[in-house]
Amino acid sequence: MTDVLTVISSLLCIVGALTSISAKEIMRGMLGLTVFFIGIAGFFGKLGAWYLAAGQLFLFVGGVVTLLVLAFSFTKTPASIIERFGSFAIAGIVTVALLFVLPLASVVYQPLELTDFAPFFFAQYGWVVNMALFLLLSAVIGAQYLLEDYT
Amino acid sequence: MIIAIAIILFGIGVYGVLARRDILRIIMSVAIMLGSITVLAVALGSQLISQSFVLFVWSVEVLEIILGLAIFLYLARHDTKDINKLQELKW
Repeated sequence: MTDVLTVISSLLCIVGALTSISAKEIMRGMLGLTVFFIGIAGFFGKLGAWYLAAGQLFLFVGGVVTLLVLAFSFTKTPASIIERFGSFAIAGIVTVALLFVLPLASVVYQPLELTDFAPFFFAQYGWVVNMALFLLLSAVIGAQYLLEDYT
Repeated sequence: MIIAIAIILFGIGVYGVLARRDILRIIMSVAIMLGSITVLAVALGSQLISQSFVLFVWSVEVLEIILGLAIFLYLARHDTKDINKLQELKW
């Protein structure tokens, strides 16, 4: 079962990565990136990192790709994008990929508990967490500075 | 096999960064590179440390996407997506 998951994840990752950098239309590239992120989540599931697999889906498929599409829709008319690529086709491909990967990933045993991460983040490497948060805040301020007169 | 796939994906990402001029494609290529690095870290490292490392890589990736999208919208305001047209961000 896990070998099947590895093969499916590998195919999803390679096809998604190649599509995202070679597709002529940027929306097809974003669809490829979505498939790539789903494949990465499958790899995490295969390797036993169930929390990372779930986080990959929530953060990247649910957040980053949506953010990219939203930013791209500021420069294009969303209606024309949907007409050109078909919202049903895009949603269908993503849903089918999720349906294939997620049940396979759930059979992998996860020995780490969520509470195992707490002492790691808040005691041993707390300063790294603070630095990451500071960098994120700096990025938000920099983005705000770049776009301060954006209308 | 997973390590080989991760290395191949990293190569695809490097090609995308070097060959493309579109800022969105460069963002996506860097995301591919970082995704392959996370898979490589989880495949090679011990569980707790490597998975924690992945969480830090995610924070850097989100940071990169925040700034990349800001630059993309900045370029879109000037009716281009070509990063070679960027002049005002030079020192």
